[in-house]
Amino acid sequence: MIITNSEIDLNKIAFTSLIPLSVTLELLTECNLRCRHCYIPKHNNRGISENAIAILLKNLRKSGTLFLTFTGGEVFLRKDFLDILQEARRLRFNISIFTNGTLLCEDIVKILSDIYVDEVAVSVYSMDEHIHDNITGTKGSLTQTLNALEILGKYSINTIIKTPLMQINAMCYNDIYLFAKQFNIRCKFSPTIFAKTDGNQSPISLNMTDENLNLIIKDIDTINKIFKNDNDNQYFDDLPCSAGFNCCSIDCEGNVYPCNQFLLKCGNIFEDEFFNIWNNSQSLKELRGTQTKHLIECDNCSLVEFCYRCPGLSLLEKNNYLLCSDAAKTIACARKNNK
Amino acid sequence: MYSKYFWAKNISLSWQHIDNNVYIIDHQNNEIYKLIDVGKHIWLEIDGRKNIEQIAFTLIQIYDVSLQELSKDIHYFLDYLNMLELVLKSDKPFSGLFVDDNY
Repeated sequence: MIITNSEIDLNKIAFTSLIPLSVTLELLTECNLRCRHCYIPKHNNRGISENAIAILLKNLRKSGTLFLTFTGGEVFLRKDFLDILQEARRLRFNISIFTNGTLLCEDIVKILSDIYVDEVAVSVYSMDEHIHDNITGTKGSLTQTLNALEILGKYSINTIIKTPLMQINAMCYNDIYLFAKQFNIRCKFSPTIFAKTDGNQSPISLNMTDENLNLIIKDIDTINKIFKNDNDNQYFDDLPCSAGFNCCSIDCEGNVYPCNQFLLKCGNIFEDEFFNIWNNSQSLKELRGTQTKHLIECDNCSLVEFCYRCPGLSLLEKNNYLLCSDAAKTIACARKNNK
Repeated sequence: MYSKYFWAKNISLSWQHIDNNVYIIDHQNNEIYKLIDVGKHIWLEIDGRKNIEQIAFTLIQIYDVSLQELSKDIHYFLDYLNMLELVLKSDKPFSGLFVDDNY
């Protein structure tokens, strides 16, 4: 009647059965910070109504979703965010939150703890306030974020620091890692800055120089691997990515995508029920028919073994998720140089 | 004899019905549980307001056993889940977040 097994791989089960196990919900694009590298073009969307979200949550529950990630903008700018969280927990979703942490206070964190939010991911760009605050465009933001991390720790909430690395903070990763280690917090570094979702390429110029990337890639791969499940991705060897197979993303206008970094529009929840979009979207059907053998540019590429290509990046760069991504190629090159 | 207690799912858990099984995430203890067959059916009937006999009364329509035998099995299973802190029992019906009436 009951099986307890650490080998139970829910991602694999959902992947095989095409169940949207993990869904990312963008609740708004409004934000109290103005981070230089942000992929969101305009911070003026307050998101879909609480009622519409309540209906969506029920539909997701019926569709098989278990893991729900709330992101923004800054989610805590929504006055109804705690109500949304409580409804999601009432439906027994496993909840993760992406936040810059600046609006977290003890009263809010206590509620997160009381309703058993599983994970809070907080953006930290540097332990040097001049660098962090320069990136966020907001003086005092690092102090506020570190305060939030302390409160999250006090309530033993599972916390992860997420850090996109760019030229200005490339050498900050070790201090962040040491800080995280000291307080038993996980951390994850990303060496890629994406273009904005409207195609504006300006954030790309913030990316690290090849020289810096070469210097740090081995370290950040090692740190990221510490927190990575060894089973990750092993079951879709012949597929480019699991996005659209066991996970998807819904933006604050109701558009459904395979992932929040993979902007292949699959439908809109105000035009069709989520369940129908997930099962019948032509874009998703085509994506699910893709195999690595369709990635023609990867054939005979000497970087394949070093490349973790992201179809979303390719779509943003080349308007075709089957083509090679320059950003992924640059990182693969750095990995090869550091072999 | 099994009607004394009412049963509720522990509200710290997340769970979902996937591929004809129930998967329960206990993130506090870093465990995943899979409920199959009758275990799954019992779990789906736990709503904070039913006692064992009420759960058995629903499940008797699925299983070809006596009500008494089924109640006994459910009793053992719920005690086991209770030991794992996956369910709670009370001599009064639960209320608020413990009421699971969505399924």
